[in-house]
Amino acid sequence: MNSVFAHGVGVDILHLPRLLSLLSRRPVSKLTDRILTATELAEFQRLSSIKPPNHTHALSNPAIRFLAARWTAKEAAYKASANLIPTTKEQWMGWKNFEILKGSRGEPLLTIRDGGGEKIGNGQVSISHDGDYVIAIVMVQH
Amino acid sequence: MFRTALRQSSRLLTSSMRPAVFTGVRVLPSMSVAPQMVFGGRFYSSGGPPSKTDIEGRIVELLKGFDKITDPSKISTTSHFSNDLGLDSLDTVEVVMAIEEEFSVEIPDKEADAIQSVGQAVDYIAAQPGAV
Repeated sequence: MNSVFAHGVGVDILHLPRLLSLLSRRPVSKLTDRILTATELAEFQRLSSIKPPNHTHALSNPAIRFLAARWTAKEAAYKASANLIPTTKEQWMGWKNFEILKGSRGEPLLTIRDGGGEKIGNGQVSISHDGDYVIAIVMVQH
Repeated sequence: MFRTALRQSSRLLTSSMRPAVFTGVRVLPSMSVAPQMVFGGRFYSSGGPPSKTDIEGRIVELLKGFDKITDPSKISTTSHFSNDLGLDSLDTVEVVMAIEEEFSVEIPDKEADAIQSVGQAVDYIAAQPGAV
């Protein structure tokens, strides 16, 4: 293995009712605008337009599950990137530096970008749902 | 439309599951609509920006509305959200949203992520000319 590649692993779990509870108190856009990238936001809106959350049980609603999976995967990605996160404010990284989109086979793929939009890493993501819980595990290479 | 729909559905769905989470924060929107009812004469005293003491007091009050903080006596101007108050990242995002509403400011992503303690929130708000 080439030693220039650094690896990291991270995991996160989310109790969906907590997310629903938060969403019920404020406009949904307050959260989605804060954590989703433009591409993720477009996908969230697409899913919302296909199946508005009041047409299905919220826990099985695609838009809600998409958002929950993004939150959980971004948290896991942040943890996996511990040695990648700069300490200076100028190089700060947040939710939108981690983008999780589906690959050609539907698999979630992580792209990490710096503040200028330059790709600085990527990673594999595995997400699992069971009832009220979503869990994500992320392995990054950078 | 989506917002209303979601709010309705989550209301239905979360009514049974909500008790686990900080339902107390739901009083906050009314606080930001009519803060003078909660905070007495403080808001009538001047038209200028809130003082640092005011900001501290209002943020501490706001945190008391979070049910997740089981011991409100722990909340002080030096409290760290996760280390001292046991809040996780999702809670912290919500705290920052509540602070935005309380002081009628929009905190950019970068600054919002940097707010991890009462002191950092106070310093940020105190530096905002638009804060009310």
